[in-house]
Amino acid sequence: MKMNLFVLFLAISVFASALALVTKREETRNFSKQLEKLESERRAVKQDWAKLILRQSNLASHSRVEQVARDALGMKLPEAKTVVSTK
Amino acid sequence: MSLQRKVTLDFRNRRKVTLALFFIMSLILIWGAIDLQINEPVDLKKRADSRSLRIKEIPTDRGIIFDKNKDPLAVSVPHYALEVDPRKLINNEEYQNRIATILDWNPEKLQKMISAKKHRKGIPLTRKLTTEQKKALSDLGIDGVYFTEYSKRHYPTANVTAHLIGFTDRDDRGQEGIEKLYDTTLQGVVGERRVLQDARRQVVKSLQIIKPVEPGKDLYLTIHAGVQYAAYRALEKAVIKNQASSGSVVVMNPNNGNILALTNYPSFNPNISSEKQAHLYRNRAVTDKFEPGSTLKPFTIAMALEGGVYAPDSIVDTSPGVIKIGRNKVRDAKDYGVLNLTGILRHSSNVGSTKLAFDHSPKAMWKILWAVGFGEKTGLKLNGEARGDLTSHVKWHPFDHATHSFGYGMTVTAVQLARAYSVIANGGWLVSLGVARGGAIFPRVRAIKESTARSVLDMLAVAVNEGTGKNARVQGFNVAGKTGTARKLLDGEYTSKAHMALFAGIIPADAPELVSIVVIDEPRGEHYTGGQVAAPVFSEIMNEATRLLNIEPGTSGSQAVIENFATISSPLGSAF
Repeated sequence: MKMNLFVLFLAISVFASALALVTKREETRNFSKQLEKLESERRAVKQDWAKLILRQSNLASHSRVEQVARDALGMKLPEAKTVVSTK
Repeated sequence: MSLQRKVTLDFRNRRKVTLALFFIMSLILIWGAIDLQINEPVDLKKRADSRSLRIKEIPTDRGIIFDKNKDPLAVSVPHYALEVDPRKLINNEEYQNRIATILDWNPEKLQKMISAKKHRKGIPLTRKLTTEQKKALSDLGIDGVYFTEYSKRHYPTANVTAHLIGFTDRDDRGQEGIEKLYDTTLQGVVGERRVLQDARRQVVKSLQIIKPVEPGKDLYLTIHAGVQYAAYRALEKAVIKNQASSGSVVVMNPNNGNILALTNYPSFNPNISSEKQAHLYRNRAVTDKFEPGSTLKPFTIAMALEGGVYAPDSIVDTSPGVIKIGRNKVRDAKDYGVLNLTGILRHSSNVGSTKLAFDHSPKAMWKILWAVGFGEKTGLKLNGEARGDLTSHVKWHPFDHATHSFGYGMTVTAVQLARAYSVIANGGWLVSLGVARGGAIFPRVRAIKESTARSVLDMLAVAVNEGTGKNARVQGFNVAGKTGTARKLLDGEYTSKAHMALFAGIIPADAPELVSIVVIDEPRGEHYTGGQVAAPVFSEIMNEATRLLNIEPGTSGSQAVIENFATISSPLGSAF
């Protein structure tokens, strides 16, 4: 009788661990899918950011600012005698 | 009895039936195998191919290179190449026309391309697809149109930083400059995953990540894009105006060894592949050696002060302006008579320097040059950095002993000279140079006494205010510095036709925050001296740099400079 109970216990354990294995494998698959999705999202966001800072730096480039200030806005560097130092 | 017989009979029948069933089943299986193997192999092969396990790369982008203020200097941006399958498009004129319209191509051109290669699996159409074009094409939903992503490096500061930053090859691997030096950091690690894909190589299911992806790390430099731009513009202007063959500028912080600007002219645009010509790649400020000429004299003065025999007001008789050493002669421009140490720098007297050197051993002369970093690399680790030539004093003849005191018979690079002037600027410490933040920090080493450094610095301020370096003055600041006009060696002899115009400067002289070296190679215009050609470049750059870096004008003596100073025009003319 005792022996039979033990066999039953073992059988249930085997069955349970088989089930657990399947669930865990499925979980792993889901997680890696999620990870992959997030990583590709991160990459896409970083690529967008790279495009934006590139555009920003083109717009704010020293040569462009100089040209706009000089030609479009008619600005010039103040002469030495017109500069007052404040502290 | 009869019961038992019946049971046995039943059992026998059952066995027969079961065996028969098994036999039939195995026949079916064998027939199935034969059928699959012989009758339908093509179809099966197709199906096997259609769903296969593959290992795919998980791509990553190269890190961005930023300057000191987070302005981008090199950025990787994804681009798309377009490929079409002629076999799928050959019979569909409408699709062909739509693709041609989106690409802004002549429809006939596309038709010709497709029919000419109609048996090919795929033909590349363009590598320059805009984001809008890609979206329009994928919205068409046509089978036989494929996109390949590739990464392209952009350099917003183009020519201004070309030599320093370098560039990458088609596969985004660093080839020159910082891109090469920090390639591993910027590159990152491409990951791998196991996927199930169909016949069109579309991923059906992602199964497992085998190797995690590590994105490329961004890199922060010590370079200040504004100062770099000011340096490049002033240098470009000077090289063109003086019809020089080339030029270099280095701007650094003497207190920590950080390089703020490093630029050369002529340069190239790394965004345009046809401009990438090998002879333009050379980062002259780092790779080119030259004789420093008079810019070396401050170190001869430092040697004299370190020796303990001379004090700043000690005098040297330089009459009659020429000194004979064996069969050679050392000359001054004219007879300056009796000079103190400041006077030797101010008039840039070769005879005075020689007399100071001869009052000390060759070893003492060699030792000071070695102590301020000549003859060894600066710590920058950039591609092709030259060590410069500083031969051992044991091999010196008396004439070599003399020439080393005014910068001949040895060679230096622009970055070495900047590092050596930093010793004078920062109170006597030899620092390691660096271009990237967070790089290895080496301990600074004491090269000369603090009092020596201070005395030489004061003398250099006089050399700018009253001596050969007047053109290097900067409005509102006290500048210290030394000009140099070195004759070049041509076929083993010094020629009076080819020169190097040099200026080494420190600003503000009262509490130095910047050291800058200007090198103009072979000026062929009206002027050729360091004072006329190189010193004004220093002034232009520093006028911008002090403003950009918020360096406060000095106090001692700078007022006088403001009053005597004529209006100077900035290289940029900008007031931002």
